[in-house]
Amino acid sequence: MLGTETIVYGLATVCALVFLVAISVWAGLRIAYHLTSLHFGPWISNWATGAASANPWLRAHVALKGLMALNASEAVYFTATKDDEGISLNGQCCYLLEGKPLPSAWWSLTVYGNDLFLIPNEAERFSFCGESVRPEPDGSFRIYLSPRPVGENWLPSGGESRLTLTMRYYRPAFGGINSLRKGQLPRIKRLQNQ
Amino acid sequence: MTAIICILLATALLHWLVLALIPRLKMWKAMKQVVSIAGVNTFYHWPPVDSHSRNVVKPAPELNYSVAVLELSEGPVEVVLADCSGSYCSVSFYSPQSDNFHVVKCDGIQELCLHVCQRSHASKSVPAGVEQVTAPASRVVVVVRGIEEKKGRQPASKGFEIHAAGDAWIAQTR
Repeated sequence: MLGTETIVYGLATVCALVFLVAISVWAGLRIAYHLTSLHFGPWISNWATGAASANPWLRAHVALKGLMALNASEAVYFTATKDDEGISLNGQCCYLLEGKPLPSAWWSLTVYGNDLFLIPNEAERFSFCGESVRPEPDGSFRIYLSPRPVGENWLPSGGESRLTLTMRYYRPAFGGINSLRKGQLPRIKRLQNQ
Repeated sequence: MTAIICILLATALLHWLVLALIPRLKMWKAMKQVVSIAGVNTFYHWPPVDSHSRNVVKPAPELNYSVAVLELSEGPVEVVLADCSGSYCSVSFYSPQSDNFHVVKCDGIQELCLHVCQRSHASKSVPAGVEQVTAPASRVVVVVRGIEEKKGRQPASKGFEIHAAGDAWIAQTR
């Protein structure tokens, strides 16, 4: 027969263990992903995404936030959850996404809501790609991310409290992400609160 | 002191275990979903992705997705795609721990034949025009991605077949 003291001690140990594992996994996923990824201003990318050489934290991160991602030979993914000032993207604000697409077979820029799924909106618009965006005369694009219609390239943010942007380059022809510089990815400029 | 060291060691061990389990559980769930709809060795063409889609996080809304779970324990299978339309189309293979171990470009290809087998069954002589894909496990996932030309569109390829290699058995496409 176990004594009360032993039971309390055992339960406390199990609780401590569960807490420590949960904290270490949560922190490990965040810290290891950020440490092993490349940062280009607000954009983050990891060359080992989808690859067998991915470290266990990256593999778990990708499984949770983008299951069945393609490896870098076929696609490169850039993710942003903050603007150029380092402030978290908020669906109540209006942002200007401005840049020039990198050479690739095909590209797209998609916005996701709190739950990392597409944001419902009347326009049924969730992304822009090379075919759908109206380009500037110099080949660059200016996309407005906003809860209300702005300009021709309007990407609805639906008023979500937190947003995630993903830029996909399929069959990248820019020689790998190591050769990229910060200015080569779109700027994310906050214009105003709505 | 001993108790603290034991707890820390157990934490480290469980940390690695959880990390290893996350991708496997996510893939197991995704494979189970596909098998429950289409069975094994049969392509399932996912409906167009929209804001109601809740299958996999961060879907690409411009892409068509066709998915199949390949069962290789009975022997190699052949994945055949015909007349891949659109400006982008690819066939990618995933291991049970979510690694994308092989990708094949197939846009504009009239017919693509992939001989998929476990590493232990890899053949040194593959017929001309057939590409061999060696899988790290007996059950893997194949995903065909194609760019959506129009809403309510066709799958990325006009023909999807999976059949046992060297066998007449052909799975039906759903």
